[in-house]
Amino acid sequence: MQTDIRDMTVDGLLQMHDLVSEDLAAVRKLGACVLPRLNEYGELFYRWIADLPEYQIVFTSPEITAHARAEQLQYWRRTFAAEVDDRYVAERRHVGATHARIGLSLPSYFAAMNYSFVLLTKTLYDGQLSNADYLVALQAFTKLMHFDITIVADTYSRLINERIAKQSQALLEMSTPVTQIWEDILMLPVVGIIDSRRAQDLMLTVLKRISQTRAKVFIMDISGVAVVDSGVANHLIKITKSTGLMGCTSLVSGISPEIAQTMVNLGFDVSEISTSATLHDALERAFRVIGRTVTEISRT
Amino acid sequence: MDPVEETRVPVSMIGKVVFASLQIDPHPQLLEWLREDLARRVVHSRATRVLLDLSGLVTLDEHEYAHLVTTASMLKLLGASTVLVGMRPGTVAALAALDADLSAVPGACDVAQGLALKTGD
Repeated sequence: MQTDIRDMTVDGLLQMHDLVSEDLAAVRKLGACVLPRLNEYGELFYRWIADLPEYQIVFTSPEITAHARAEQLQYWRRTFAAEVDDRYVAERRHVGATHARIGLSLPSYFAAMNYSFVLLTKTLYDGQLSNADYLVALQAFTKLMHFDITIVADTYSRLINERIAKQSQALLEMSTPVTQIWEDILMLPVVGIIDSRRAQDLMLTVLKRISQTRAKVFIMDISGVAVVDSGVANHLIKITKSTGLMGCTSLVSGISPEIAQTMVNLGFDVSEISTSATLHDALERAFRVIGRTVTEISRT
Repeated sequence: MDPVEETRVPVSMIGKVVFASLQIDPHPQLLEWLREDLARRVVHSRATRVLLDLSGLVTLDEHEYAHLVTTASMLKLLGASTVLVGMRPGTVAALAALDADLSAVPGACDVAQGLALKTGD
């Protein structure tokens, strides 16, 4: 959908779901038949969900269940009142936000809406309306329910997406711990999956640290990288080359036999980067570059 | 606006090392002048090392960078190795994103490091 549901007016939303004032009137007529037995609906509905595992996770105490039930009955009263205005839309959004917050999945929500639909239009319907009227009311009620579902599902998925975006941002910030392990030596353990965005982020963080610390050697340990394909190898080589422009030699450690094989098979010119199997070797080489040695001391 | 002669980058000597500092974002003519001046100075002084200070640059596109790389290989023919000094992290990352050949010229964080750098000659 091109347009953002959030930016649409109530009229626009009504038009989108083909709802006209006759439909809303028909819903009210159906409501007059069903509303007196709404408490019965509550009974039946909550007997039904008591057996479903997902609801048992959500409804942990009788108070929560009672509160949810009261809210739910109010929800249907508002639906059958069919006064679709800004407040109505805002209330539906609130339902979506609540579901997202408590972690009720969309399929469960759809199942509950479907069961409610069956209860309200079939089980509790007393046959007062003529067949033609009932048909019109049923169609109108379906449209209004879809109207509700659109708003709830949109709000729900929007909030979940926001949450995921926030989490991945946090993860990105946590995932580049460039540490100075010695004078003139920086180290970065790379863990997880590398895509072009993460590679760019890594590069910028590393370069910034180099310009801050004036380090001469940068060790990148890739033993924690899940998959190394041509794309990832390309990114890593770019990072190691870019540090050269900052006056810093790059060493890549943690190359497993599998990764070595992949890199050779992909035809990379292995001579252009300095690699070693273990961090131990890389550190030793780093000391050599900055002109230091590690010697044993006699402890007597 | 025509490039003015005053923007020409001054080329000086630190001992036996030729030193030039780019303080403004370069235009093609400026790079051309710089190349001429550096080449003349290297020939005159018989220097073996050129330091090019880029710490004042905010932007450097791949053409300007390629121009500097060509200048470096030209100076190499005259017997001097070039070191780029003080490039900003953002500039380097941008060049990497543009697929520039980053290992063409060695670099250093500051002038002291650039003077100390061993370039294998």
